[in-house]
Amino acid sequence: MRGWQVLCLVSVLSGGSLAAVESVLQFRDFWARPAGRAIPSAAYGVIVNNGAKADTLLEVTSAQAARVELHETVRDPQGRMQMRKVERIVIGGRDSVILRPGGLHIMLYDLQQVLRPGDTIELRLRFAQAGWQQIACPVGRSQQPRRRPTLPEHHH
Amino acid sequence: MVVISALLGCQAEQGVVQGSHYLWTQQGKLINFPQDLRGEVLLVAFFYVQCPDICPLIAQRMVQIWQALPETRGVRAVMISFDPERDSPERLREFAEAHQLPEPGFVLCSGKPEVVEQLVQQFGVVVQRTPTEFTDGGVSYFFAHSDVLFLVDGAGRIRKRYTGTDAPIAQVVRDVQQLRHQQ
Repeated sequence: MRGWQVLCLVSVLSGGSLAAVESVLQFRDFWARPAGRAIPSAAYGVIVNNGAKADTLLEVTSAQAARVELHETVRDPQGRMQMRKVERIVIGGRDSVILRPGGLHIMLYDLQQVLRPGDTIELRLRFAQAGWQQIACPVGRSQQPRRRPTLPEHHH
Repeated sequence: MVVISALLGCQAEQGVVQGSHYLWTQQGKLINFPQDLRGEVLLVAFFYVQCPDICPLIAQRMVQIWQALPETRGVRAVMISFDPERDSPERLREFAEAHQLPEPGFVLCSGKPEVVEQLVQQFGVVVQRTPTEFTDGGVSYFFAHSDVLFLVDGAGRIRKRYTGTDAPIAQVVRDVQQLRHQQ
């Protein structure tokens, strides 16, 4: 794998259907933008749902940020770029969602430390089905693909 | 009032930055924009430090352009914050460090609200402050804003505008080189 193309393995924080959860969600190419303590960061990556049922990302927390929000950057009809809060992100069955600059992203406010390239932050993501998932997210820059990753073929 | 219309050739003029605009920089110095930078080709963008998504992309694209320039002498990248309430020299410096903006080529600046407003209007940038409430009840504000990069010649004339986050690097480099040779 090159650059920041890191496959972040899932570690299940809570009990439950551990085997099923590990095989269903994957977190690919996650990275966070360098930032100062007074400058917010944003995290990006690809959430892949290998399962047949949809799941929903409900919230994200991080030990490195006092406040974490799901946001989307959109271009309004006047050509202005603006952000809007997103309450949840649905990942369809055998589908994926890309969090990327200029689109959906995880915003990290009130950082507890300066984030420099080479650092790693921890993100905890809560899903409606899969529960809490924890990923290690490197700080740096990305050559993140604009397109969706190839998913396993879906057979009915 | 500057009128900026469609994309025109580099020979064209899209307006002149008029008057003296005193701005503080990330070094805490006061500069008179654009008078103090007269004679230099300027890449100018408007931004705010608290913008976590789009403004870093604009900065990143400006760095890519900067690194692609065969010669940076006589060229300056100027990022003007339209959030003077929060963007002190220290904040600007923190942004420059976080995004590894080349110095002394990159000048980050802001100024009194009325001064920044004059520049926003002269460049034809659209900026709208939008209050926001966080999930935990905290309040802050963002800005809805244009995504533009301007090419300004050594006489303070706006010669071209590009989409900031997606500016065509090779084209901008050619345009900068052309203006440098005309100076």
